[in-house]
Amino acid sequence: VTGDAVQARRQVPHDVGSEDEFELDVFRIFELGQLSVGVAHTRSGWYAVRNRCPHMLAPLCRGTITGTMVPAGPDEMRWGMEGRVIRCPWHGWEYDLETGRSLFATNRTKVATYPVLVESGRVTVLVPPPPPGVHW
Amino acid sequence: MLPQIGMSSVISLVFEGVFERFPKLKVAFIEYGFSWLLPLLWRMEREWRNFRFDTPWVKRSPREYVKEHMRFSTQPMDEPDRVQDLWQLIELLEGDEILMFSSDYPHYDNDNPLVTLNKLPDGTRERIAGTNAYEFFPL
Repeated sequence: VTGDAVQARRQVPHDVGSEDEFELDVFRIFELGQLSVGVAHTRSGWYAVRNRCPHMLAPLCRGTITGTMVPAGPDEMRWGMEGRVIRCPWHGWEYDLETGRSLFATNRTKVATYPVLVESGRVTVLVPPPPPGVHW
Repeated sequence: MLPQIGMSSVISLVFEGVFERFPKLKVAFIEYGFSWLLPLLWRMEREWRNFRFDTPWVKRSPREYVKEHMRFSTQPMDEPDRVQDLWQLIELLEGDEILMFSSDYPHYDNDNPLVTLNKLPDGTRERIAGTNAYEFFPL
């Protein structure tokens, strides 16, 4: 990998608005570069994830930001991970907003996550540009 | 048609969390055959991915519970026109792990081992004919 290629892959900051424009636990969806990205302030923190479920390509960020029933004993319903889970609007697949991974190893798919910076009331998302010549 | 009962029993045992409550429990399905099992496992995997939320005590993939806790006897072994189709099914099902030969003797509609065992693929015949049962039952 050449220096230019490394430079090209560097994450690009996108200003997506002021902090108070974000309603708690509701995704706002932006076109950043060539990517559709959902950005949200939840009860667990700030998150940015790609707005595409790897399963059937649903607009993932139109799903619900929620918690989930965490693994428990038979007939036991225990709620957890509040504000850390996005549930896909189509098939209900759940992803951890922190890591992008499917919850509890239900499968191997993973959704891309991006760093979010909140400074002086402004919200910035760092998104890598696509490789040259690649259109997502 | 016993496969329907086999299907609903496999589904119920896995999704009701029986093996979470009784981790040492083993269940042998006798005389249900096995050709219905593979598509059932595929569907159970799919539904678990979609609806794990509703059964949070199912902590591993349904197929893992089946492989660890259940065995299936071969009789009545289905008889597709090409025996290779049966071999392919057994391979996809990991039949060398979960199938146990049975004849249904002394019933008249039995699977005669002199004929049926020859229908099993070479590599897995020994396991299905004996080893799997030996490992599964407390002999």
